[in-house]
Amino acid sequence: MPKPAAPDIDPVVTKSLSVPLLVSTLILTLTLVWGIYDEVYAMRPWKRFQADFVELYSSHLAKLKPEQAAKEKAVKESAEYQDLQQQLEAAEAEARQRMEEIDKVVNRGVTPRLLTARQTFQVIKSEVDALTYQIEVASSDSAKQSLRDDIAAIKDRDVEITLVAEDGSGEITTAPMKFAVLEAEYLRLQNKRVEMQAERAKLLESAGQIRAKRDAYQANQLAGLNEQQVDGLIAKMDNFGVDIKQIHLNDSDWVDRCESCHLGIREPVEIKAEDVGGRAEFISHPSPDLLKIHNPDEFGCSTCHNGNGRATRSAVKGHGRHKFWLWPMWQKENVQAGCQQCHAREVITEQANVLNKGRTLFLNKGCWGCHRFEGFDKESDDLAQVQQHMSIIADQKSANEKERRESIAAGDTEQDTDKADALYKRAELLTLRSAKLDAEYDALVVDEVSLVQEARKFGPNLKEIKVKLRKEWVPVWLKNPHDFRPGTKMPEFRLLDDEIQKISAYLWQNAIDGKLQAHPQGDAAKGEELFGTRGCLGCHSMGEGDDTQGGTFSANLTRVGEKSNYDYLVRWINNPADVTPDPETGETASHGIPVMPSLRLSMPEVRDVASYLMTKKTDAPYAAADFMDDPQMAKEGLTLIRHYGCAGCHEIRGLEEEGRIGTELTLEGSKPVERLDFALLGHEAEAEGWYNHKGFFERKLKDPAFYDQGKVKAHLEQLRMPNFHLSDDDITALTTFLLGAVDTTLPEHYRYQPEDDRRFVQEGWWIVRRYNCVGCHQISFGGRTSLMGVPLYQDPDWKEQLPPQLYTQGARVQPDWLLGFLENPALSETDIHRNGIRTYLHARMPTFNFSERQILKLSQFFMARSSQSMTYVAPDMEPLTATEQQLARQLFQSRAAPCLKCHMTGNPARDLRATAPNFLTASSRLKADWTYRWMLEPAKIAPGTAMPSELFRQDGDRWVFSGPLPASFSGYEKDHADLLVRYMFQLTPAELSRLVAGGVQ
Amino acid sequence: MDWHQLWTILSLPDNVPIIGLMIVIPFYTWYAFRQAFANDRLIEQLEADPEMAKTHHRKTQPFLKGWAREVHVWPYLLRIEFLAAIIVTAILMVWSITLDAPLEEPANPTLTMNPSKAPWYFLGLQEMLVYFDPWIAGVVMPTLIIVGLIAIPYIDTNPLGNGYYTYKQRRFAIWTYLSGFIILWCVMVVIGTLIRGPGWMWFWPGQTWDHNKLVFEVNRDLHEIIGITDPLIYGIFGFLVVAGFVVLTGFAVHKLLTMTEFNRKILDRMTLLQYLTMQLLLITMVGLPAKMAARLLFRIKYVWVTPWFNV
Repeated sequence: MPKPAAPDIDPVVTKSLSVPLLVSTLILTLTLVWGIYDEVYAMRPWKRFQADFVELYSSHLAKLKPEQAAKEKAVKESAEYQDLQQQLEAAEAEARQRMEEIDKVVNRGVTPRLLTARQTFQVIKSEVDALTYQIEVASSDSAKQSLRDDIAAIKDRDVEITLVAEDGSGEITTAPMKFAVLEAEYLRLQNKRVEMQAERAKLLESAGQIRAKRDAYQANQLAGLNEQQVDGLIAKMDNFGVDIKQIHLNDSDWVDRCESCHLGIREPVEIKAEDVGGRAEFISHPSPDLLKIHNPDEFGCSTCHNGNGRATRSAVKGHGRHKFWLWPMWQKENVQAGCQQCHAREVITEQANVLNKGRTLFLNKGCWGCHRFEGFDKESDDLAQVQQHMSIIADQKSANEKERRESIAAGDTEQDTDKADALYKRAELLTLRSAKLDAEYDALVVDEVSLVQEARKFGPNLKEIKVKLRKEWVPVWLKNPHDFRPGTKMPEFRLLDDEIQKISAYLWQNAIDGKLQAHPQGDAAKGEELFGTRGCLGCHSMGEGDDTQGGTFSANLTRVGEKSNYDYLVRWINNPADVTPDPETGETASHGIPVMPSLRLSMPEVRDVASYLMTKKTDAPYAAADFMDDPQMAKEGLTLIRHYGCAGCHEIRGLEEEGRIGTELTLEGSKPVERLDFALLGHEAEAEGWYNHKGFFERKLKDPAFYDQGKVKAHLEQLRMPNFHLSDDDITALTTFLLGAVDTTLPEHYRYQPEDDRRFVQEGWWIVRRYNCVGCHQISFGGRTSLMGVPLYQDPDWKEQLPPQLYTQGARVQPDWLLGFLENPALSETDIHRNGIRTYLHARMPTFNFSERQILKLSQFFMARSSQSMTYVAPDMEPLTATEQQLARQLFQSRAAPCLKCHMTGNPARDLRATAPNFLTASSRLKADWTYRWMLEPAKIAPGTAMPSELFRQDGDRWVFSGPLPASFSGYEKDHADLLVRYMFQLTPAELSRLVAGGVQ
Repeated sequence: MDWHQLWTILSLPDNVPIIGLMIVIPFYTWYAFRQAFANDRLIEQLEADPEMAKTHHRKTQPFLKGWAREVHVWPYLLRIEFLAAIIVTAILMVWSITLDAPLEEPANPTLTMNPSKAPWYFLGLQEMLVYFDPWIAGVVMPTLIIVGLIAIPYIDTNPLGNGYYTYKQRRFAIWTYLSGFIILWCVMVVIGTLIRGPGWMWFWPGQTWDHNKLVFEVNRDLHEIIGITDPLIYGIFGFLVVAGFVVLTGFAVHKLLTMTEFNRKILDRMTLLQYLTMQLLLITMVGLPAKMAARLLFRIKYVWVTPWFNV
């Protein structure tokens, strides 16, 4: 083996490490520089955002300034502004002379004198105060006395005082003065100054008022900011401090730094992306109205929008679009999910149209039949609660009774009088308590009656199918309801053919076998006309594809004749609350009232409509369905019905107490994503970026069997949720709703759970939505009813036939009247085949079988929406004098105000052309103050109304008729509109017929 | 081959130390062996040339004539340590800038993550739990590891190899280290990190970690396989099997120890207590791979089942 080349050189001692040391030190220095860069700049991208924003926004403001200045100038040059400006100048000039006098005296006389007096006054006073304190703490009376003497001596001292003359001449006098005199002078000067200042303020008052008026005028006329305000913003940008902009909510310790990048969000100028170089992150909030009621300083940002409000390192982190951030910011289309977490009690939240649609779909597609969701199907929950409460009270009462009896018995045998007395007293107390419990119980009974009426399964009662349906149709329907009736609420279950047969068999054999009254055929042509005009289309639709007209709330009746039994249709249309008595259980009432109301058609009309509906059919063949009579099939069908949860929505005999089969969804949005069953698609979802709640919900709603893909499962183990064939918009709305269904971490007081009148609005909407009042009436502004879309009502003549708008219903009508009207819209016990108020309308306000509770809630809803109370006391009306009556009559008949041309009079021939209610109903129905406002400006209350506006013009403090006035009005000094209101509210049938007979003059 | 899955696992900030470990440990092992073999060659040379050999010790050490046998700490040691400190600091800086602390979502007591893994340095322990009772894997074995590590200087009677790398003079110690630390401990950490997926199931690298994966695995106790049902008898049977294993392993270890003349000399220097302690530790150490093999290859759950403990 060769020897090593240089064996004697020790590598440890001889090797130099300077090069590796130098290189590694340089590397370390570089990493240090990198670290500092990272810390200061790379990790704080908001610094770049802020620099960019300042630059872009400043240049936008610079561009905006001349525009706003020009606008401002235009406003300032307008006649009104000039007028106000002149008034202001005049007012200021008027006050000027006296003001100058006051200023001279105050500034040059009173104030300097006061200041010089104060100096000496305070020195002496502090000396006295110090001695007074010593008196308070002195221990002996003699010490106190000597201190008092000291004070007296000080007060008695003559002090040289230099004072400035009071008249403002600047003359200075020096004189000796005692403390008491000085004090008096000092106080007098103080009062004088206050008085003169008050006088000065008073002089400026009228000028101030005019100035406020002028500024308000400018603000109203000017779109956007004035020049000065823009200048303010420019200055703000010039002095912009680059730092984290943070909102901290103290009560919940919520921190949001969103505005560190989204700097334009709260700017008073509307910033669009194109204003700031296309940078969408700098735009102002798209809905400033929302920010007004949810001030970010009180509500934060990520409270509504989600995302990670604290994160500032990147958009991904800040928006919480990160695997480990459990509250990712809502996608744009689902942003209203944020509303739901606090507005969880509502079905309608203002300005949240997507969310409202989602909730309404959940309500009106019957999702709650299978999935519990707090607030939906509240009636059933409440009923269970009330019944539980009732049983508790009953138990308490019987326990009370027992104890009472025992107390009396013990009292009877007790020897000691005191003890016996105590026992009797105890018995008496228990009697009282029982009486109280009785009262509570009775109140609950009333609730229970209402709730039993309200609580109802979502779908039709299947106990009726034997009398209602054509037998062969049932299996065809079950196969796929959407083939027969596209868009129906009944979803498509993935049933095998033999399952369909078994289910049909069970349903058929367990339906009530009743006898219907036989009816003769009606006139289908007349029926068609009635169907189109009575208001059926507010809920139901007719026609397929593009020809469809009417509402989507209820069934499309295009093929209803194929499935129905004529006699049943007659009964149903006549009164949907009628049921076939069950011979087995003896029940004669249905569980809950059907949503379908009675339109109070006369029997011939009912037959006409039913006959018409029976003609709505195709020639589709139906195979015989003898299997439906096979008892063995029925037996197997029961298991299937239970498995598929049919009883969640339908009344089915033998399954009355069946629970819901779906998962509860109240907090579905908070469910950990790991608990959502993506089955075999989890990896695909992660790779494609939809491994989240939104992705899960959307796909599940689109195709409820989606997550069975690739799974090997027996048929009955497969996912059961049926397919509702929802549109993409519907899916977005429902997804939004479900995403918002979270267990919010926000403190209680953020949630919108009012206990005042606003609560009535929340609750009322549930009824309005459940019974589809919005199919015919516009209730929220801008809402479109189903009837408005029907071709018939596009005709101008028919437009007047649309049911009335109810925007201000609560302000318009008296609560008691509304209660009665909702109970019975005919407003009559005998003459019921008509509308109670607007008999001229072809569409009829139907009689819903509301419970008392619902009627009350609806009335409260309308009152609360108009900020009205449920108690209404009619104001005292000044009686009309004979002259006034004469005048009012003349106005009524005036050619310029042909009231009776449109308003009903009770004369059937005239009323055919009427488009407005009868005046005789006014006093019991309307509120006088609303009527007064209505006459002045009807278009402001109900846009598009036929009632003419500008009937009156303002004349000083009163309104006078704007048409030609009869000569007799000269000398009448009172308000003309008020006169008419009084006349209207005191109108008698005799007076009305007199008016009618008089005709238009 | 699911490359995405592989990348997901490898790129996890949590797993960076293990990836580092997988590179650094083989490298330094190789590096140490290189130096050891070089020294061994030098020693051979010196032994052949008695002139050059430093014979102050009973056995030749790899020092050349001109080499200092002792050098000062400063600067010769400290400058190297300083260099190392600079390099490590630079690495830590870059690491901390580029990779954030691997924080995850807020803990949810009602939702256990799957797979639920211990910190990387405990993954070996967690992996042991698959093969042994918690009591043995979680308490006895870790204690033995620590006690064993403490005991090494007192067991080791080989005076050679101090202050320089050598293989020839410390064969037994080096192999014990290689099998105990690298093969058992590091490999188990790597298995726990890269191989164990949802449900602590075995996924080869590149296999998709599928939460829905189902495998048919029935682990049975040894006595069930053989068909003994009486608890007393299978208790005794298990004891005999374990005892047999101990005796056999002890014998094998002894054979290994006495394979070379050099080792026999070392063994002669050991007291009985030292010898027995070493045997106990080595047998326990061999017990782990033995149990792993029994579980993974033969699906044996326990060998010795008693009412109090299972092995």
